[in-house]
Order: sequence, then structure tokens, then C-alpha cells
Amino acid sequence: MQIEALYHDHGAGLLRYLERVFGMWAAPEDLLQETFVEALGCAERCLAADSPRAFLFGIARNVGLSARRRRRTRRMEPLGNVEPEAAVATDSMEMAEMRAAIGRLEEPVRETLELRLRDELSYEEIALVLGIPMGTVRSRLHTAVKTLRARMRD
Amino acid sequence: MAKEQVMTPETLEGLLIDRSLGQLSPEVERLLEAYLVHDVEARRMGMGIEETIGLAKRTMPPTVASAPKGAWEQVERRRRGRVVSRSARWIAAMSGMAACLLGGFWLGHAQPGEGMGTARSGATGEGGQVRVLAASPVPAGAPAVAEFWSRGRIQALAMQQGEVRREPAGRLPVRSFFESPGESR
Repeated sequence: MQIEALYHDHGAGLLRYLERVFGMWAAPEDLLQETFVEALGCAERCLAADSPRAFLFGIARNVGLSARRRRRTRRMEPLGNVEPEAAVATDSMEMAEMRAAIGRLEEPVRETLELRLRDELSYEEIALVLGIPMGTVRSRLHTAVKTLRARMRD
Repeated sequence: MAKEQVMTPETLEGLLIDRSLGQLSPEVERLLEAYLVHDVEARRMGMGIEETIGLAKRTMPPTVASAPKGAWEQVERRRRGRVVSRSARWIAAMSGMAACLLGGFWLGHAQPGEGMGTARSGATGEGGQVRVLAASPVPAGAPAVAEFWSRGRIQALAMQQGEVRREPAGRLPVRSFFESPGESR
């Protein structure tokens, strides 16, 4: 089945995304399975999409947001301020500053930046995932880079 | 006459950011490179942006490097389970509704209507006898007339049969006490 092929191609990336963004509210593996159960329910649309990967990311985001609504209590700190301990331990001063600067970005801007840099989605794909115009994606990314540059210069 | 396009600092910065994020079309990138050859300041700005983005990328390492633990079979099993549970819910709802209808139909047939004027409890009394909770004050076999339940008719029937005058329903005993204190005492 073609959705199964998508699972093997993008499962790891989706799991990474789900763990990073919604890992504090639900088990990422559970959310990943839920994402693909949903994808099986609309397999035709998923396969006919310009970017099935972006389509899956969009489903994953909705699944994650639903999980977050169901479970209001947090298990840990919000994303963006938290990184794996190993990564933090090996941070140079510059990287620590950058990490702090990213953490201070506004939520929509940071989410867009992470989808580009971490998940390596294109502008079009990010627009599909977030359900916003491509111009907004570009504008958010420009804002993010300009803000980070300014903060790193300070 | 074609309007001359001017490269503003904002436009240039936007193009440099798009280039560093790998989102510039090859044609535009080529044009930008040609422009940067003659603009040292812009080149320096481009390097600064690339540095910032490179550093940002390095601070965002993947949190999970391995492939998903859940196998595809689990996804399919979960989907099948959801379909089955949805069907089961529908069947249960339909069965419940059918049971209610059948129960109502059976009760309607198995319990024929009782004579008027008698109310019975659902529970049986001692020896399996049906316990009568309330009985009509009108003697059995009384002819049906107009104003069947009127207070006057009930009293008239009682007097005809030599029974003691019954207090009308709803009359409080305390009222009788005040109306005829001698009798009550």
C-alpha cells in the first residue's frame, strides 16, 4: 500500500516532529500511529496532494493539537526552552546564546523556523502544514532571521 | 518604457535570507550572485545571514535519530480496531432500541387494561395477591350516569346503601374538629 511506503519514508521525520512539538502532552509513537490511521482514512487525498509529506505533517500537527487540548497538564517545560541534556552540555557560548534567542522568539515564528531548519520543509510545505499563505511563511522566517541576527549582535 | 527596478536594502536582505534558507529559484539566485559581485557590503551581509542560519541549524539537532518504533502492522491493527469499535457501537445502539420496542410491545399485549376506577401497584402483596392501593368510592355495579365522579353522586349512593357519610376527599380532619367540636370530642 502506498500509505505504508509514506510511513517508511517519512515516519522518522514525523516522529521527530511530534516528539519535539507535542512530546510533552502525549507519547510521540502513539501520535504517529494516530496520524497514519487518519491518513488511511483519507488516503486518496493524501496521495494526490502536491506534497504528501506536507499533508502528513499537517495531519500530525492536528493530531498533536487535539492531544494537547485533551491533556492540559504539562509533563515538562514548553518546547524551545528545552533541549537534550547532551546537546546543552556541549554548547559553546555562542550556541547557548542562539538557543536562548530562539527560545525567546514568538511561538508562530519559532514554529515556522523549526519546520524549515529542523524538519527541512519548503516554504510551500510549511504553508500547507500551518494552513497559512506562503507570503506569511516567508515573512515569519525573515522576521526570525532578522531577530536572531539582532540578538546575536547585541 | 520599462520601469527601472531598484534594489532596496529590505529587498536585498529578504533575498539573502531566502538564499540562505535554500528557497530561491535558480534564476533569481544567479541574478543575485551577479549583483553581489559588485556590492561588497551586500556580500558581507549575506555572509552574516548565512552564519546566523548555520548557527541556528546547529542548535536544533534532531531529538530522535532512529526510525519509528511502531511497526506498520500496529497502525493497521489500530485502524481495524477503530472500524470494529465503530460498528460495535452502532450495533449496540440498534439492539438497545429494538429491545425497547419489543419490551414495550410485549408489555402492551401481556397486560390487558384493568377496570376503570381501580389503581394497582406493580408489586403483588402476600400470597401473590395484587395489592389495591386505592379503590373507587362508587359501589360496583352502579349504573353509569353523567357526572360519574361528582361528590354529590358519591354521597347519594352512600346514603342509599346506608353507609356512614364519608368525608369528601381532600377535607382535612382538623377542619371537622373546628366545625363540630362536640362530635369530635
